[in-house]
Amino acid sequence: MESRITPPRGRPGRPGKYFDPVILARIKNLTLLARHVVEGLMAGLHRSSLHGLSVEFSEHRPYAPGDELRRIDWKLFARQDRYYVKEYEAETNLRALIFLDSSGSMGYSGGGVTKLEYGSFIAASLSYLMLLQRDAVGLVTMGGEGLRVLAPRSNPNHLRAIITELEGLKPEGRTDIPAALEEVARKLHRRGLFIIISDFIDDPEFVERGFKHLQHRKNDIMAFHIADREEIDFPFSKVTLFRDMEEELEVTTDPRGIRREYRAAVDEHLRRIKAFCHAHFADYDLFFTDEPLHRSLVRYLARRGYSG
Amino acid sequence: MTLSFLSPWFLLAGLAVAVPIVIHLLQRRREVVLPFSMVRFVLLARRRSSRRLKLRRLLLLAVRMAAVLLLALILARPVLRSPASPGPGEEAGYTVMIVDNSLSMAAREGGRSLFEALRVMAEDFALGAAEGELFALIPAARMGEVAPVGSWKTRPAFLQELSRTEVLPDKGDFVRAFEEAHILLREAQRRPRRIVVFSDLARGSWSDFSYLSLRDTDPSVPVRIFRVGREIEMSGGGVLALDVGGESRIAGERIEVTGQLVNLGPESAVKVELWLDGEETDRKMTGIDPGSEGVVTFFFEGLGEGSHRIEMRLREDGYAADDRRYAGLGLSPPVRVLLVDGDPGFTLVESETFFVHEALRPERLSLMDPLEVRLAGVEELARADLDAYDVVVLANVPAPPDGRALTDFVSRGGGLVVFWGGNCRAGEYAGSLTSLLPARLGGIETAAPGSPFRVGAVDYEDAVLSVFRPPDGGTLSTAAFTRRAEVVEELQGTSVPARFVDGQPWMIRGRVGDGEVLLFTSTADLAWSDLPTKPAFVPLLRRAVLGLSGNLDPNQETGILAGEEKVFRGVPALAAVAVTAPDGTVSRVEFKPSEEGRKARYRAGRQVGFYSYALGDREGIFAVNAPSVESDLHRIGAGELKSRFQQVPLEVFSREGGEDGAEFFQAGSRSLTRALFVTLFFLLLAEMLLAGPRLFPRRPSA
Repeated sequence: MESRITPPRGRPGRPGKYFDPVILARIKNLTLLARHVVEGLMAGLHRSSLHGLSVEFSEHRPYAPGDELRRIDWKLFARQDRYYVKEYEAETNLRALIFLDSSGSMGYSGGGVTKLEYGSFIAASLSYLMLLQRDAVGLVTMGGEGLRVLAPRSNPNHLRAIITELEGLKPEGRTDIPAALEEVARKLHRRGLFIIISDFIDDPEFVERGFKHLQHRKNDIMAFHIADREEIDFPFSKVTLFRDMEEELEVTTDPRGIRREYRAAVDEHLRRIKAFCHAHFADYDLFFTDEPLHRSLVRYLARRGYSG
Repeated sequence: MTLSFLSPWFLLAGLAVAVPIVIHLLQRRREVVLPFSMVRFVLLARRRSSRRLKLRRLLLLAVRMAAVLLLALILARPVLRSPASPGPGEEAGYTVMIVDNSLSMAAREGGRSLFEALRVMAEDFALGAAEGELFALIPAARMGEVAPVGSWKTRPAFLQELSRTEVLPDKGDFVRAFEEAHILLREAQRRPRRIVVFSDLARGSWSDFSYLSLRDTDPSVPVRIFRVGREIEMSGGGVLALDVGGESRIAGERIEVTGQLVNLGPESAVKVELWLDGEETDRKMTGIDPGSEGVVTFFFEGLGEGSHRIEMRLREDGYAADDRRYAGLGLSPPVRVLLVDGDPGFTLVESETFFVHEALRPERLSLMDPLEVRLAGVEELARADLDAYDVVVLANVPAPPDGRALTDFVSRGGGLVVFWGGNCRAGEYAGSLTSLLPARLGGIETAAPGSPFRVGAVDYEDAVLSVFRPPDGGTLSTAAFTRRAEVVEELQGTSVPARFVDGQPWMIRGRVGDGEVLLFTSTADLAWSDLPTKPAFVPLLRRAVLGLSGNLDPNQETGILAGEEKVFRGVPALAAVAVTAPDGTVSRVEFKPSEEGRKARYRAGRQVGFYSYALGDREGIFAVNAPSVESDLHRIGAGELKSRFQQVPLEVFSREGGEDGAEFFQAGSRSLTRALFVTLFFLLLAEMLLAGPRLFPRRPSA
């Protein structure tokens, strides 16, 4: 029996409608959009997400006036008779780099927003959220103009630069994820969180090679796979000339006759991408362009240890 | 079988087969252009499914071409013809079609009646005939109706007439049908001429047919006979006849219902139900060997006066027409008898009327008795209101006190029985009852000792005496008469149903007005004979009384066969009789004068069952049954049929072939249009599945 990857579906009419990408697309200002999404999400949480995001112990440092007394390590005081304060990883600034694929295939839309638009919404919302948490966030785009990198910063004003970059993006050029990741990995020396937003229309073996580069430097990886439902369902019924959006490829066929084989091929592709993500401890999730945006944020927060 | 077309020029429409090819080629240019992100996957999918796609495209093209060709074929109206069917290749001529619409054609086979199957075959035959062929339709069954010989008709008019023809509850008369066919063919100016017959060939209708017995025939006219239906597997049975017997038709009388049955099933017993006035009153299992006939009898007693519906039913089988048979029964009120004793004794046994009274009121267990007898003396006769009686019995009465009243009573329809005796005074009888007695009597004759008078010549046609018909009837000859009245003169217009051995009358019958008189020249007691002690005495007396009151009618009609006439005798001051058929339709039949008085004749319609009528203030019922001869569904073989047609060029066709060496084929011509339409439907369905959008689009699994 044929098994298929079953991506989650949006549920119009539920609270998620406030994150509906088609509705949000009407907000031309990406900053406003990101704020709307993030604050909409945070308003729904019952307690602050900024406390105790991480519990991983990092180091001790001598107590200085102004430090909270509850942070003093009393056991160490008992042994050494000196005051030391515990420092945790979470309290060190997170360095996140959002990698947004803006190749030609990201310009596909089955009627709603394009994959690039949807990816931009996610990138903007995540950036807003991270800067709100005083984390450093950067943006890497890869499209017709080659690789463009905005290094991670925690300054809130950095959001404007990211948004400007996102608003100027056009879907063009070929996808070469491994080359892009390799170059990014080479440029950035500090380890951090890599959030890759792409349609992953590339050879899975090559993409995996890029993942290996990142993992080699002990980076955390989150893969946000963006897809349009038409790309998966292939619902076309008329004889169609399919023209590729990145390469000089054309094919005329009757979609009804090949639908079964097409779906099988796409399923296989998705399965392979998911498999190597798991193999490299990367979070993988598939997002459809008609899904509410907040799911990506929830996914991110879950990765950061938020449980509630 | 050969294939031909009724509208062959429509085959040119087959050239339209090029249309799907052109569409197929044009379709490639009408493609939609779509910038797509995953063309590599499309390419891969197409590579994987290219062989299947190509096959599907070719299949689609083939289906579309076949559909176009099929449409052209349908328009050309193809028919499959048997060698028996006249086709366009044959010269147009005249066809007389004799269709068997006898009752046996109502038998069902494969969910429809044989006649429905016949109609389809006959229509096919007519549709397959050459253009310009003229037809004449002759139904084999007509229920006795004298119809003018048919006329030649064009195919549409003929088909219309055929569609109106129905099965009738009658047997087929093929002798008449063939004679009519030849009359029609004599008018035919052109050749060829032919007679075709569609029939189940059931023996019931064909048993008395022989071509040699036909008048004015032309043996050169070929005859084609198409047998409809298969040899019916006999099951169940049939009621061939229903007879209602009994001494009289008087309320309370013991009624005997006898059914003649035929067992056509495999069991050696037949379950019979008797229904009276719409209710099942009795049932029996009657042992009858398979394929044999038998008789079953039921009895009723105590039925009230009026009309009754008697119905004998068998389990319904494939031929339902003979599973029920009907009889109408009308019962009169009890007969009122005034018994006048002219020689009352001191004891009951010594009285003159003892034996007569016992004969008319025998000990019976019935709830009702058909006779109401009142015993009276001579003096009471003078005071009696004779209109309160139907029959007056005078037993050894010296002389009637009021001869005029008695004469008027008989003239108005009453009955008078006179037993002579020693008290009777012949002179006074001659005076007061001159016009009443059927004979003039003289003195008393005495038999020589040891040589009594005995009854010799008996007219068994007489209604009263018919019960003594030898060899089964009892006999009157054992009675010994020692004395008798001398008959001086038998009056004109009288009859003597029974005489003594020496020719002297014993029983004399005379008619006076609307009534009758029965004169016995001996006594009713043991004084002159030992007849009262003989077994014949009781039936003799009872029948005499019943006969004189008009209730002894052994041939009383309980029903007629469909198509026969029911005759009503005229009632004064009544112009017509109203008859109600089983379906409720009322017919008014007028009385017309005839040699035997005024009569109204009603011809029973096509419905079998009970008909009711109103004759003035009298109501009655009669039954109409189908002819039992139609119950014989055995088929006459082709060999036997050919022997009956002698030198006539005859062909016999049947659906399943091979009988008596005859040549059997599929009958007539068969239109293929319906089959082609069905094929076209499935082709279009296949086209939709191959080319059209899915009815239930495949969805990504949830």
